[in-house]
Amino acid sequence: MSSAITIHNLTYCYPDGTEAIKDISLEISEGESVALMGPNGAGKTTLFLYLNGLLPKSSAFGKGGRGDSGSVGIVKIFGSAVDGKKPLREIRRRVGIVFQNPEDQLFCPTVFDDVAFGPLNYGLPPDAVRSRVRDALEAVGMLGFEDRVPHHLSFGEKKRVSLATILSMNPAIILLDEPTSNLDPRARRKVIQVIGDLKVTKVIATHDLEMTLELCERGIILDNGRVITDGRILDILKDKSLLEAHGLEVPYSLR
Amino acid sequence: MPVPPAPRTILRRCSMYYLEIDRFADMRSPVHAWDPRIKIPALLIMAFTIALLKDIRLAAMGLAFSIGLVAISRIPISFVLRRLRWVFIFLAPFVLIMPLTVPGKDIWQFSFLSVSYEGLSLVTVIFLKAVAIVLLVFPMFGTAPFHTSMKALQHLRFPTRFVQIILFTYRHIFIFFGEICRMNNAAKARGFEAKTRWHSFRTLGNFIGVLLVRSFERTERLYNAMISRGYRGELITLSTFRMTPRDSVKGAMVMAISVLLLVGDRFL
Repeated sequence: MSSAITIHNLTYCYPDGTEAIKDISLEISEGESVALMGPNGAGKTTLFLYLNGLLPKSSAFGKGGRGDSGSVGIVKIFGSAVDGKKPLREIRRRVGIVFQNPEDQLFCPTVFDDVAFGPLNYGLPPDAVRSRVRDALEAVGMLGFEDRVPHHLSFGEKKRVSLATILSMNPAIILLDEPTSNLDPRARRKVIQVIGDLKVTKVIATHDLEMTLELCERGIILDNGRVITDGRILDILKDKSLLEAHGLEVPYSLR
Repeated sequence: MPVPPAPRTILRRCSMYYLEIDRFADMRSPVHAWDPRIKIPALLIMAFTIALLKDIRLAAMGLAFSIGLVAISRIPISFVLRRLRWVFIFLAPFVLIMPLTVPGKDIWQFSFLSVSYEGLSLVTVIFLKAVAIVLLVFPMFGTAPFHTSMKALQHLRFPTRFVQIILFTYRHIFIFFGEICRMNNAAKARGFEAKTRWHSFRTLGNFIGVLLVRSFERTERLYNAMISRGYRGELITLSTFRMTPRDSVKGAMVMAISVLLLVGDRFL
């Protein structure tokens, strides 16, 4: 198995001086499904944004001191570095982020336009775009909603359409930020099913530990910007003291 | 697969229905069936034509045309009237003041107030024209889904930035209002009442501040979501417009009427 994501001693600092990621090293292989767990503010979303090249890199450390955002370390996606030199567009095509709040992800007038947004931006011909949209909506069980207006969908439907907007770009890696938050049990079940059927490398940031048992073999606990544990999900989720020390709880099914 | 009806709970809860100009876009009528790439420019030219008219009879004919078109489009009259209310409020000062201030032949006098014939006819023309033009907006943008109209504008080579600004504004009005509604409910649930007192004003100030900060942060997240899907400043869409001879005939009819109105205005 080749490596999909390689992170080597990454530290990232926001412009206000907060170090959101502290010296993280990770290796995620192609086809893996990894749960990224940790309390609120642990750095999960920041890590996702970084992997997509979405964070400002004004200067490296040591130049201006406090007040400068910047990063040190190496991040590689399929061997090519995310460093602002290589075209980020190519990396973004291969790494898709499904954001936590679907309202931020759906900005087009219709569901079709939203799912077609990515493929159109990458210059696919119209027929290919249409079939991509069809496939993506079918994968999330939203066929027939093409002409609907996103702000009239239910929250669960919005979440699934958000996922479709990423699937239509055929990414090799999908980063999911809290895919099941705020969903009712049926909508949650549906989303879990859809994610489980995806045959790509997945990293799922979540507090829904029951879900990680179903979807992931490997788990990583992130707290205060550092990797605390990295191992088999079952071993992690059984470790009561470890979980509680980092704001998490042993899932009910393992008690 | 049967699609369940759209849950519009937030819209309903905040009575936001009236924000939707395209609420009756799903109806069937000759105006609805008209290709927006011809409909919008044709009606826009008509609107300018009406704006140029000076003769009271022709202004009345312009209004008749607008009313006729709204009738053909089958947009419910109650919906139209509720929106026209704002136009009337806007016009009220003109209607009240102009007959009294424009100099000319007095037709009615009451102590120091005098109503002039010139003032009265001028205000009638303004009123007829304003209502006629506002009425045209309903067939223009009310007979197709809003995004279809915007796509048509893009096809007509309107500047893409302009179209994007309108589209995103329209999309976010609903999110914005949903946010206001939730904040308002949260405040009411804790006993807030909008009264004329210091506490109310401070709370409303906070409302607006929080709303601004939230929308600022939202734009940032939205922009991230856009560039992570390859956005480069262009809004690329697939269009499904189909033009038939019938669309052109309708366009030609509107143009002919507007030419007749202009010619009539010149010689009457």
